[in-house]
Amino acid sequence: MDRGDDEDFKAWVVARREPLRRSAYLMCGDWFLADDLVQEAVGRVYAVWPRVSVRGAPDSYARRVVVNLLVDHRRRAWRREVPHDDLPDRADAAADDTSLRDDVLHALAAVPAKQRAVLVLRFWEDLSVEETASVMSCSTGNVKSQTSRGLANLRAALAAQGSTHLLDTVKELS
Amino acid sequence: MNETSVHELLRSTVEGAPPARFDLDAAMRAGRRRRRTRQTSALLSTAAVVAVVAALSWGHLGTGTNDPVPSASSVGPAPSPAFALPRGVVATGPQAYAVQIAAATGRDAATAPVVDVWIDFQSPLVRPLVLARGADLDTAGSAQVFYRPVSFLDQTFDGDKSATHNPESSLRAIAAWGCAIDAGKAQAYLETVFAHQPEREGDGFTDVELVRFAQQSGIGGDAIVTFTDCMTAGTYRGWATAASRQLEPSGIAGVPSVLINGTLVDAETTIDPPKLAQAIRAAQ
Repeated sequence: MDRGDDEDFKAWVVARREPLRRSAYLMCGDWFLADDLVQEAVGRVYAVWPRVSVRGAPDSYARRVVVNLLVDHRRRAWRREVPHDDLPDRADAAADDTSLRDDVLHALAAVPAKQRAVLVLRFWEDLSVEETASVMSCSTGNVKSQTSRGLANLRAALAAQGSTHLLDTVKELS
Repeated sequence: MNETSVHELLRSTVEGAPPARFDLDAAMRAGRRRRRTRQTSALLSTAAVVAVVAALSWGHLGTGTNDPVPSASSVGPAPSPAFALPRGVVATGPQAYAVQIAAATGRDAATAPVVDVWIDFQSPLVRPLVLARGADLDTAGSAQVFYRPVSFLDQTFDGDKSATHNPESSLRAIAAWGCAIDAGKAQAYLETVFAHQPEREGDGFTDVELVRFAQQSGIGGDAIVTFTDCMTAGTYRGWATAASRQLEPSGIAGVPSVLINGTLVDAETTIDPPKLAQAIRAAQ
């Protein structure tokens, strides 16, 4: 690999590391594990950089690594409590924000890992059904069914934990 | 529930993220390693055969500088494992995959006791036994001493998610030891690793440390390049795995375990080097 490739790779890391980390966190609910997953995924992208460095492909490859590690290999996702203690002090972090985040995290934790990954890819990363299918290595039909089942499970979890205000907001929006 | 609202719900959870832990250099090193491993595995079958043949010829020729030369009788019939073996290590017979640390010499060689020492590089309980060899366990050519490395502590420690933990430390240490054996530094490397066990049991060893141990064992110049290549290529991971698999069928409960002529030494004697040396002498 020549120096130009290395520079391209480093630029990609700077631009894409944080988004990848956030998606990984949404899929696993653990910033520590998310950091591990990103570290691993970035290393694997570098291993195949000359092959994947055409536009858009490294993102897709990195997402696939994260999803495979989480879903296929059943890494210990969502095994920790919601990390209240890890939060940095922020003057603007209102108590309402914290409880909203906790409610959503708890509800997400109740959604099976694969469905949760599909929800994150589709609604957080805004990937199309086709792109999601490519990342998950499954059919578009499977993505669609996982999406609707994931949404149903998320709704049920929100209702079950009494987060009715979120359900109401959602209903108004939809 | 529409897409915008789900996006907003998800957004609420990623706010207030802690600072990222990320090491670009480490990621690039890992990437390079993966690339090399793939290239290596493509050549593996050929390389393994070549390496086994080489290991066997070295064993016969005895070109070692520091280590006891394995006797011809300890080199069994040509084995056919799908992985390389360090110099002098055999794949068959009662001492399969074991490393001979001391050889019996002189006229009593044929009747000298055979001592098997089961070790895991991560076990602090094994350390006194390994490090005491110079003082109390120096069998001075009066026993055949075989070390049997196993990696079962990896299963114990690899659940550890702490940042200081290094996965597969036992297995990687065994594989690195294989490279040191080829460099003629079996004993020195063994002792260096045990002398530098981490403060916290389970943290294990980084690859960088495993290379530094080689330097501290007196492997330098071209030899350290050969050692590093051997280690990063994972040349002896297959051997390390096979050696570790010997534990279960052997009926050995854990490490340290010592057998003299096939008889298990009681635990109290095992962890007491002077007593153990006495037991070995008594078997002569």
